[in-house]
Amino acid sequence: MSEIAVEETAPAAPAVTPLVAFRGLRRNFGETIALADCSFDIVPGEIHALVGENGSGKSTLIKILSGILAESGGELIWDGKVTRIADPRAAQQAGIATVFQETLVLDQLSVRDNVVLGLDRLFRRVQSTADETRVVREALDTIGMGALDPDMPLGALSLAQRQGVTIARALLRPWRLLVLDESTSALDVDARDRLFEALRRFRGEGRSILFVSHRMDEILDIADRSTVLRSGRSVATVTRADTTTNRLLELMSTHEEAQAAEGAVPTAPQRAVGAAVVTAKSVEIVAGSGPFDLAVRAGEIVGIAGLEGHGQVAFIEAVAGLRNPAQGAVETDRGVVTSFLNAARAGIAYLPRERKTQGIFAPLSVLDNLTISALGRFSRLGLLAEARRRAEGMRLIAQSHVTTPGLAAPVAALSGGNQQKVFLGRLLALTPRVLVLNDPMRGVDLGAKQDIYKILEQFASAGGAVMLLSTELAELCLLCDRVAVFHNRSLFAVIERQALNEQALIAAMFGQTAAARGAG
Amino acid sequence: MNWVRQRLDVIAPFAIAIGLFLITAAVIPGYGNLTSIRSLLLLSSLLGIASAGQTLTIIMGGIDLSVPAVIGLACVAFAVAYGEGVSPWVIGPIVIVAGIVVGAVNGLISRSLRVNSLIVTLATATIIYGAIWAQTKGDNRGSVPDGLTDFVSVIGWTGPIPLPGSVILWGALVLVFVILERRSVLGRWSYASGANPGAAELARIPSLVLWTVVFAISGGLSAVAGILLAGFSSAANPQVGDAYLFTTLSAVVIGGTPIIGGRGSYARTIAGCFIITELTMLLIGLGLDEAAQQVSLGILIIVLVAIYGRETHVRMQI
Amino acid sequence: MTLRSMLRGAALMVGVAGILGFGVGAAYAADEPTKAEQEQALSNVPAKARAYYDHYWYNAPVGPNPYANWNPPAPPWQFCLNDSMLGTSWRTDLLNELKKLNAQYHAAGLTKEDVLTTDSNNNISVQLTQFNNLSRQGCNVIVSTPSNPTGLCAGMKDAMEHGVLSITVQSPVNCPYAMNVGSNQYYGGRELADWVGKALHGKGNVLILSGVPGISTTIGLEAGSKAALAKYPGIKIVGTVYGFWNEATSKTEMVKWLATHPQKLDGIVSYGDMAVAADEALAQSGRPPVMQADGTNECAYIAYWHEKKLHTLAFLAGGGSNGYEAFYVAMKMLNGAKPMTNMVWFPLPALNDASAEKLYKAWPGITPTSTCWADEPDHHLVADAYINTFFKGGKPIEPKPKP
Repeated sequence: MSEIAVEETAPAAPAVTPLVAFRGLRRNFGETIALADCSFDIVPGEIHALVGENGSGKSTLIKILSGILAESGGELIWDGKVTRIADPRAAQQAGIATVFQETLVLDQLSVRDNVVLGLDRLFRRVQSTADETRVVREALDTIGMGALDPDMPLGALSLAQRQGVTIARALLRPWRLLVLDESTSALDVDARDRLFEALRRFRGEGRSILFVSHRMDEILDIADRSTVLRSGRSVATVTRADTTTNRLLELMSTHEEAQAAEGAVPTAPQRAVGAAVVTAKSVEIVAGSGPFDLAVRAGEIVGIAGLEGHGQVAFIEAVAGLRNPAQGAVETDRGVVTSFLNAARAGIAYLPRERKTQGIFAPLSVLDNLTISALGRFSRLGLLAEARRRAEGMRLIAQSHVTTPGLAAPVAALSGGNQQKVFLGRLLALTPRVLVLNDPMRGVDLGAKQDIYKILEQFASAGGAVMLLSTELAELCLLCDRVAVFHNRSLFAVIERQALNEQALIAAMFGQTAAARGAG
Repeated sequence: MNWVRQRLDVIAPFAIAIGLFLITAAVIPGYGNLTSIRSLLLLSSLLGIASAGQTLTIIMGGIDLSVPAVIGLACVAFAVAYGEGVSPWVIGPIVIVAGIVVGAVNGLISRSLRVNSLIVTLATATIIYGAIWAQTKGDNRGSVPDGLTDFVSVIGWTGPIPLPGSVILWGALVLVFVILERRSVLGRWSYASGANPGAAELARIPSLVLWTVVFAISGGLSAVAGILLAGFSSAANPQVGDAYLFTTLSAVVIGGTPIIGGRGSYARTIAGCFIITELTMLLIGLGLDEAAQQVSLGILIIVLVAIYGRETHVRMQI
Repeated sequence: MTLRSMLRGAALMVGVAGILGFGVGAAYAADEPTKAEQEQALSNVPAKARAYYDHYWYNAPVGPNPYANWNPPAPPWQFCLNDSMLGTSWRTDLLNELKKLNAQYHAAGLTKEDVLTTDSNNNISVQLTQFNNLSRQGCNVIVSTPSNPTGLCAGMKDAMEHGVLSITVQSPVNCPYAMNVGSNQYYGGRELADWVGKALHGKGNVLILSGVPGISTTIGLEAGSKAALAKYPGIKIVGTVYGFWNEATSKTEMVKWLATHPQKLDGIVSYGDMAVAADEALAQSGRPPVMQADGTNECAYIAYWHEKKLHTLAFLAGGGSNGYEAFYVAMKMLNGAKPMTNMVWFPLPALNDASAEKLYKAWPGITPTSTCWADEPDHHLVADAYINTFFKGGKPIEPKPKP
C-alpha cells in the first residue's frame, strides 16, 4: 500500500489540450452548497470516471455540463475556451451528449421515435422511415440490442432495454463528449460488455467519455482516470495504474466533515436492548433481488443506509406498511404488516421524507400539527377537550424541544428545523413502539439536528425502537447501534457499532465486502 | 395598526359587509327600515344555510357542485309529497335523509375512487335532475304548509322575535358550525386534509370517513335549504336551486375561504352571504340590471381574492 | 406602489369600464324595417289579422309561404315533436295535446300510431341532431320548439328538401324553412301594460316583472309594454325585475327590489308564471297588493286571484291550446291548403275577472300552487275560422278534431 500516486486537483498541464476542464466550479442552491470547488479535466480519447457517494455533487456537475444548471462560480473550459453552457441545445451543439440516471422515455412512442426524439430538426425532414430505422438499429447494435423491434412501444420493454434506448439516443448525436450518469445500472452483463467495447472503440477514435458509476468493478475495468468528489469538492484524480477499490473508498470518506456534523458528541449510550419488535423475514424488495432477514429490537437505533435507489427506502416503506415486499413479510409481535393502518396499530410510526408535501399542515397551528394523529385521545363524542389537548401539546413541545411563539402559532411560521421537530412530536404523541424515520435530518439546521438526536436517544432509552434512514453517514455513525446497508435492492451488510465508520459504510454501499470487513 | 394589518384578510369581509350596508342605507332612502333589514336577513339566511356545507367541503379540499340539484330534489319531493297529503313531519326528515345519502355517496365515490369531487358531484347533479324529470315528467304539482311559508317569510315572527324562523335557524347553524370547525375532531381533520392531502393520509386521518361525513353534511343542509326554498316559492320547482351554485361558491370565496382548502371558516362565509345579498340589493336599488349585478359580483370576487392572496402570501413568508 | 397593487388597480379599472360598457351594450333592440319593407311583409298577412302583427320584427321576419312548392304526402302521416326542454308543464301539455289529436286521426287511419318525441335539455346542437334524426326516421310533420331562432335552420332546410313539414310553436325561427304558429310578443306586452295603465286610471308607479334578460321574447314584450305605458303621462316605470319565469327567482328578486324601493308601487306588468310570487313578495314585505296583469293562465294564477278576489288581466296561452293550433295548421296543409305566409299569428284570448272566474269553475280543485294550465275545455285559442283566413284551397279536414 506504499506509494499511491495521486494526481492532485490542479495537475501540471497535460501534454494535450483538455477537451473540457473545470476550474474551481461552484454551484449553490440558496444556502445549500451542492458543488463547492471542482477542478479536473478530461482529455480527448479518455474514459474518465467520476466517483463519490450520495450528494457529493456528481449530478450537479453533470447538469452544469449538460446546460441544465448554470454554475454559480468558477470556470468551465471547453476546447480551450472559457464557456458557459446556457441550455441543453448549446450542450448538444458543442458536442456533449448526456445519458441521465433516470430513463427519460415516452412509453407511448415506438423505440424508433424514442431514439430519434429531439433530432427532428437534424434529419426528420430528409430521412425516410426506412433510413431512420436503419440508423436506429445501428445505434442499438452498438450496445448489443440490434434485434430490438424499432416499432415496439417503449412501454412494452424491460428496464434494461429502456436504458439501452436512452443510450442509443445519445449515441446518434454527433458527440465529442459522452456523459453516462449511472446509465449502466440497469443493463445486463452482456449489454454492458458490448457498451464497454463500443466505449473503447470511441476512445480509439479520439472521443471522450465521462463515466459515473457506483460499481467499482466497472470503474476498474474501463476508466483511464478517476476523479473523486466529496462534499462538492474534487479531492483527487487518480490514474488507472493507481486505482484500487480501497484507495477510491478512502478518498470518498469524509472524516473532517463528520466531526463538524457531530458537534458535541453524545457519549456512546448504554441502552438496555430488549426483544425484537420488528422483524423482516425473507423479505425480497423486488422479485429476484435476494431475500434477507433483519430484526430491530426494543431500545435500539438501527441505521438504514444505501446509495440512492438501492432498495433501502422501499424497505422502510414496507416496514411502515406503505408497500408490500415482493416476497417474505415484515412481522411484529402483533402479526404481519400488511397495510399502513395495520402497521400503525402495531405501534409503528412513520416519518416520511418530504416534510412539505407529506408532513406539515402549513396553515394549521403548532397544536393541531402535534395532535392531529392522536385526536381520539382528547375527544368525547367527537368534541375536543381543549384543556387536555393543550396540556399534551405543551408536553410534546417540551419533549421535542420545539421553539415556538405558542401553541396557536401557525406551523408555517416556524423554522424548518422546528417544523421537523413538530412533525416528530406528532409521531411521539402516538406513543409508538417503533419510529421509522425517512431521512429526518435532511435540510435541518445544526441546532435542530442536535435536538432530534436527543429525542431519538431518549426514545430509545425509554425502550423504543428506531429505524433511521439517513443519507448523512456521519449521523449514522454517531447515533446508531448498528447500520443495515443496502446494495442492489437487498440487505448487503449489517455493520455493528464497534465496526461503524464512514469508510466501512461507503464500502458496503458500493458493495465491497472486503473493504467493509477490512475497515472493521 | 399592526394588529389590523396582520388580520386584514379576516377583517376585510366583515368591514365590507358593514360598509356596504351603510352605503346602501345612505344612498337608498328607507333602506334602513325594519322590513328592509328583515329582507336582508331572510335572503342571507337562505344563502347562508345553502353555503354551510359548501364551506366545509371546500375547507376539506373538495367542492360540492351538487348543491343546486339537491336543493331542487328536496324542493320538488317535499312540495309534491305534501301536495299529495303526506305530513310535513314525515316527508321533511325523509327528504333531509335523502340529501344526506346523496352527499355521503358523493364523498364515498370521490374518495374511494380518487376522482376529483368536482366531477363526481357534477355527475350526481346530472343524475338527480334526470331522476326528477323521469319521476315527474315536468309536471311538478305541489304545495307547501303555511307554517313553512311563514318560516321563510320576510314578515315572519319566531315567538316574540320579529324575525322569521329561517334567520333563527341560521343563527343556530352558525353556532354549531363554529363549534364543529374549532372544537371537533371532524373540523380539525377537515382543515388538515384540505391543507395537505398528501400528509393527511400519513397522519392517520381516516379520509374516507371524513369525506363521506362532510359531504353528507353538505347534502343534508342542501336538502334543508331546498325545503326552505319550497316554502319561500310555494311551489315544486326543480330549478329553484340553480342560482345557488354560483352564489354559494361566491359566498365562500368572498368570505375569504380559499378554494384550495385548508383555511377559512364558516364565520367568513357569513360575511360573504351578507356581502352578496347587500351588493345585489344595492345594485337593484340603484336600478342596475341583472347583467351589471353579475359583473359587479365578479369584480368583487377578483378584488377580494387579490387582497386575500396577498395577505396569505405575506403570512406564509414569515 | 408595488407591481401587485398596480395590477390590482388595473383589474379594478377594467371592471369599472366593463360596467359602464354594459350600460351602453344593453340598449339593444331589433332593427326597425323601413315602411316599404313593413308593407311588403304584411302584404302576406290576411288584412283582418294585420292588427296582431304590430312591430312584428321583434319576433321574427314575416314573409311569404315557404312551402309553395310542397306537395302533401299521402297518409298515414307520422307526427313528431322536437322539443328543446320537456321539463315544464307547458311543454308536457303540448306533447299530450299532440298525442291526443294524433290518436283521433290514427283511429281514422290517417296518422301513424305514436308521436315520435325528442328532448334536448335546451342544448341547441343536440336539438339539431335530434331534428335531423327525426326527419330521417320518416316524420312527415315535425312540431318543434327551438331553443334558439337560428340553430335549427340547417335541419329545417334539409327537411323541407325532403318533403318534411316543420312547424314551430311560440318560438319562431329566423329562416324561411318552417311554418311558425304563435302570437306576437310585442302585441302581448302592449296589451298587458295597457290594461295596467287603464286600471290605474293613467296614474302611478309601475314595475315590469320580466323573464330572461336579453332574449328576443323578453325584448319584444318589454318594448310593447313600454310603448303602451308611454301613452299615459301619469304613469312612471319605476323598474324592471327579471324573474326568469320562475317562482323562486321572481320572489327573491321582488323581495330585494321592494327592500330597496320604499316608494309606493301601484302596478305590476308581469309576463307569466310570476305574478303569484310577486304578490306574495308584496304581502311579505308588508305592502298592499297592486294592480297586476300577468301573461298567462297558469292554474296557480287563476286560483290565487280567485282566492284573493283581485282584479286581473291575463291571456290564455297554455301548451295544450298552442299544440291544438299547431296541429290544426299541419292538418290544413296536409289536406292541400296553401298558407299565405310563414307566420300564423293570433291574438291570445284575454281573461278578465269574469272569464277568469268561469275558468276557475271549469278547473275544480286548482290551488295557488297548482302547476297546470287552465285552458278552455275545447283547447282553442282562436276560432278555426280565423286560422282558415291564412289558407287558400285544400280539402276540408275530415274528421273534425274533437276537443
